[in-house]
Amino acid sequence: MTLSNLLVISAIIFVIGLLGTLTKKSTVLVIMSLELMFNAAALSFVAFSRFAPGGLLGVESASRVLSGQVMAIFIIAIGAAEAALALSLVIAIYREKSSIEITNSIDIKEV
Amino acid sequence: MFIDAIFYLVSILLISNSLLILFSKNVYRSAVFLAFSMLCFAAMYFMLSAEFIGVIQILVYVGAVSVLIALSVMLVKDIEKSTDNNRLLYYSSAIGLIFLVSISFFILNFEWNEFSRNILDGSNCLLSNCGSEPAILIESTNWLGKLITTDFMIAFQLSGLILLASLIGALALLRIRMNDDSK
Repeated sequence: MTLSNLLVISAIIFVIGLLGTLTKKSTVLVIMSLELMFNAAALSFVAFSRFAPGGLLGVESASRVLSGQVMAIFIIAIGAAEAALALSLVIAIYREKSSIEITNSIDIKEV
Repeated sequence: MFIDAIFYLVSILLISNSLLILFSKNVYRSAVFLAFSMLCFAAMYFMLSAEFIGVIQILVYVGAVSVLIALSVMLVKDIEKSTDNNRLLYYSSAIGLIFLVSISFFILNFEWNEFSRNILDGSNCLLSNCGSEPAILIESTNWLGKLITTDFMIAFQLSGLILLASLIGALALLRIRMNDDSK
């Protein structure tokens, strides 16, 4: 378990999410891939926090080591907000088009 | 070592579950695989001594977001065609592969120890070959609370504001259409 291993795993998950976002037709699958990309970023933040230089107990060491974990908390909060908003957008698109496929003709204004 | 074996097992499970999200034939199974891969992320966080983040991950993603996604899967009409790819499959695979190869090349060849020594001189534990974890991680939840309420106070408040705004936006999106339907 080294930093390079963790970063490579995080990059692999990020690329899988990127592929899903770019290639899938269904909106739900695109949102799932977005969640994967969020979590890959959070994993690399936590990995950097685990392998940060330690030092003694104290405020300075805490703000150096634990900043990565705080960023992971913010990423999780933003990811949850994004999921709620995107899924309500899915329902709105479904009401308008009776289908949730991403096509060229989706106009957000109509929704 | 035992922890290394568990780490490699969890990372193989994580990558295979994430691939199965894309390659399964049924979108509902993709949602279940997403929940499994979020559990694997939580296991990663536990192994990285970030217990609080792991618990939050299970609560938010496995508990809440998976349920939201499973609910929206019910809107899918044609379950057979729901996992189709669009015509950009080969281009985006090539772009993703190039991105992955280049960033992995950078990660594996970067001198993390030199980097750590240059910006943080004289620390007792260098970035990539830390034998033992930083001592602060033993009581990390305590210090996380202190850090969030002091250094990251504005960001914390703003993330709460973003959550509120997204919930209001979600309600407004659905509410407007309801009024139109009733006309």
